[in-house]
Amino acid sequence: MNHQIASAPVGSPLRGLKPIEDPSDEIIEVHVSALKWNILQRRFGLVASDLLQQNSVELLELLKSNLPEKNGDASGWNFERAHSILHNPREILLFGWSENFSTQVIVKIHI
Amino acid sequence: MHILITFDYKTHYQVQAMERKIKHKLRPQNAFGLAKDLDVPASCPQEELHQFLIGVYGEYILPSSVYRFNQVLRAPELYLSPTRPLVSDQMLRGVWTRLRDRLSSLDSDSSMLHVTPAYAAHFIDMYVDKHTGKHLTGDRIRVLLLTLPFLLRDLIAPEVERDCYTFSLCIHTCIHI
Repeated sequence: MNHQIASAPVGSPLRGLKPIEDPSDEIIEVHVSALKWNILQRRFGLVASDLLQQNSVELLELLKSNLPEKNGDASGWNFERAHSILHNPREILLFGWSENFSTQVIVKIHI
Repeated sequence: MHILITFDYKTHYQVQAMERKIKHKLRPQNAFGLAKDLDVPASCPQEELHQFLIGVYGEYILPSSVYRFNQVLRAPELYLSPTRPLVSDQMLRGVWTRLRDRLSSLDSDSSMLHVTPAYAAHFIDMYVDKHTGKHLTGDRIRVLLLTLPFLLRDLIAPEVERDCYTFSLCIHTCIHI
């Protein structure tokens, strides 16, 4: 695409457009942050919620900045399910290790 | 139950101090929590599978990533005429075929997990072709969580860097060989 934008003749709709940037790095940044968050929240003996809280805020901020339009939805990331990553530290504080309230053993029976 | 109802000032002030420190409510006032006989179910946590793996990652982060790639490749200014995008349907399909092939090339020797071509095709059906009847369990979503950070690297670099006309001819030739 960038080759055609750079060599677009006069009168072409592509003429004068800025080069296109591959968004892979920004998308990967979100995926890595999500992976990091998931690994951290599964850690046994996670009692100090500060670290997970900080990661939750970072993940939510990355979602807003790197994937701003979600699925083309104007409301962005302002909904309960996305916000629930901020509530997870509170749940760990109240109920302990995240595996205490995991349903994966039950779900695995269906695989 | 008794512990939840008893008001302990020391704990209360500790929680308040922590809330101020992290700038987030640890014990928000929930209307469901005030309803008779609903306090315990309402205070139960959302578990990882439905809250994060399927809920946030599977339902929102993955579709949003696909949307972002589509948004870049099919930006309104990249149309040569109202019905002729610079990135043709065939080229766009090539991007998702590339991701499918990257996914199905994972094996346990090199990646510590094996992804079958059927799983990779299922992923494309679900997230690219938006088949509403297809679903993934939490454990299968986890495979994507572990691998996509590596597989998405430079996913659309060939389309962005190369000449679209020549690249389209290459894809066309490859498909017909």
